Amino acid sequence: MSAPLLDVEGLSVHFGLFQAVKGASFALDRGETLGLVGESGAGKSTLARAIMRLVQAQGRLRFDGQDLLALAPARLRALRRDFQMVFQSPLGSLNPRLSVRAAVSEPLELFEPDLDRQARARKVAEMLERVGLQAGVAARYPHEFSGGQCQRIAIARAMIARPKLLVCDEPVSSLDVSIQGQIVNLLKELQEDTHMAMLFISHNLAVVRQISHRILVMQQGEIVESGECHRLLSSPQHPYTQRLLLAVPQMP
Amino acid sequence: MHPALRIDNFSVRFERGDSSTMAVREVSLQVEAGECVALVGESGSGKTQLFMAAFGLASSQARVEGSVRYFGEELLHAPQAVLNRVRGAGIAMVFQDPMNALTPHLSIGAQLIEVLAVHGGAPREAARSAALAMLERVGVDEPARRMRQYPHELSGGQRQRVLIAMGLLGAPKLLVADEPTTALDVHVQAQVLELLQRLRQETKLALIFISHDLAVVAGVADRIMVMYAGRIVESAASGALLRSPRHPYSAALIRCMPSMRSPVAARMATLPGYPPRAGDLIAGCAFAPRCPKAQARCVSERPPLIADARGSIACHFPEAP
Repeated sequence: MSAPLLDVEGLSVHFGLFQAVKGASFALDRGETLGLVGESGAGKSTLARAIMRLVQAQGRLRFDGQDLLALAPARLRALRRDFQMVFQSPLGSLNPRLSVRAAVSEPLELFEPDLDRQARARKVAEMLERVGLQAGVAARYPHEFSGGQCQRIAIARAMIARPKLLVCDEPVSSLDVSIQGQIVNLLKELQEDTHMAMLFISHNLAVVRQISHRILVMQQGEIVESGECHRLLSSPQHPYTQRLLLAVPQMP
Repeated sequence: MHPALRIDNFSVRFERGDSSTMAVREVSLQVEAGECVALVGESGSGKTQLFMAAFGLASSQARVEGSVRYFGEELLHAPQAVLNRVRGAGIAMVFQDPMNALTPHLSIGAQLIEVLAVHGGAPREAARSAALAMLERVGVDEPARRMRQYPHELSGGQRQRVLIAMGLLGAPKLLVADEPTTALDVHVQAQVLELLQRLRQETKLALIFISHDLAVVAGVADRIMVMYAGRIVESAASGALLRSPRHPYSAALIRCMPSMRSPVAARMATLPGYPPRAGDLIAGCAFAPRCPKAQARCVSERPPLIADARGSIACHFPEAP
């Protein structure tokens, strides 16, 4: 058994007196998708941002054998290519003044500065094709695209440096139902290609169960239940998980 | 008795310079008092523009045609005084984004009292207690404290309830709720839906529910109308439409809905492609390029919307009901 890619133990985040994440502990293996569910305000996004080192956290956070909380800033910056994030608002997470080509090639300029222009352009074109966009879109700007297409661009930008971990914070919540499946399928395919690990945050349990191997349930900053996806959804143990499942709207 | 809202042959066109874009095409619909009709479709299908234009809220470039009658009274091209009387007091709209629909620099109380001042001219103390009672009614906890707070101090769910309270303060007979629960998590969503159902029963409120989420719609609507590229393509009673859709687009939307019961497959069902842009010229059926059943006729000849006992359908090759 190799060590998990991400090993979180007793991770806490404080905002002043308010504790948004209370001693979260879990592990995430390579090639695995972990769903993170709970109400808004439960601390899901804060936990994700703590893992991304976007907010200060206490506890233990080991990623690929390194202690992320103790890493010197320069080392952390270099390691960032290995853990990337996709956000809820596809348009809001793209710089409106960068063309698609510029947005997607930026991580390469940062993490693979030795690459020449031609090689970089080739990688960008390949990546755009991989996420289902035609090469012709590269010269266009985010506002020219629909939400689903913007999310594909954001995924291309996150994936181009081949991260080992992709954190997705409500990646399909703002998209049409007809487009949500396209994005979930794309993330699954990318995982099969690259064997990356995923932390998939959503309040939509019906979507989470389509992509997750295991699920964490979070309530008021605490992880109250975790388990294998099917087991957890078919026989939830914690009263909060049970209530969450009852609130899911059902088709007739 | 007139229906609460009756829209006939309604079209909305936007004109910019010499280009013209059809956002809504020949839509007819009717909602009775106490009834809930859901309008379902993807972003850009014209759901929101339909009602914005119907109530005179669309931009000045919008050109409207047809008829929009509120309890028999024509609103299209009606004088501003008529629109002002009807909007807010008779018709209320609740918008999707609870953060942007409230004014950030006014307290919740001030914004609610303003509604009453505009529509009722009620004395300040009476307006205050009416606002307080309405907050309580829509399930806002600690209403007295909320009145003093500002929008940013409230959660998304609380803000959405404040917006619903604001819409209801004028005691409307028709409420258009535009994706009122899309920004909310499942718990709060269930509470908001329950509130809307209660209001229909208690006040005979006519409710138009705009959403892209069929599972949400399934629980609230009596009838569902499916909109694609500015047109109604199918309508029927909720149960019938969800169980046995006739239009391939309705069927595809239902297939794409992940449910808690459907088996987990290697890939989720998807609807390939994207809807046409509003400016595209379409000779035949707008859905044909994405339709698994499309034939040559679908591309060249637009299927008319045909009404029958079950509802209405616009498709050359519909599923048998």
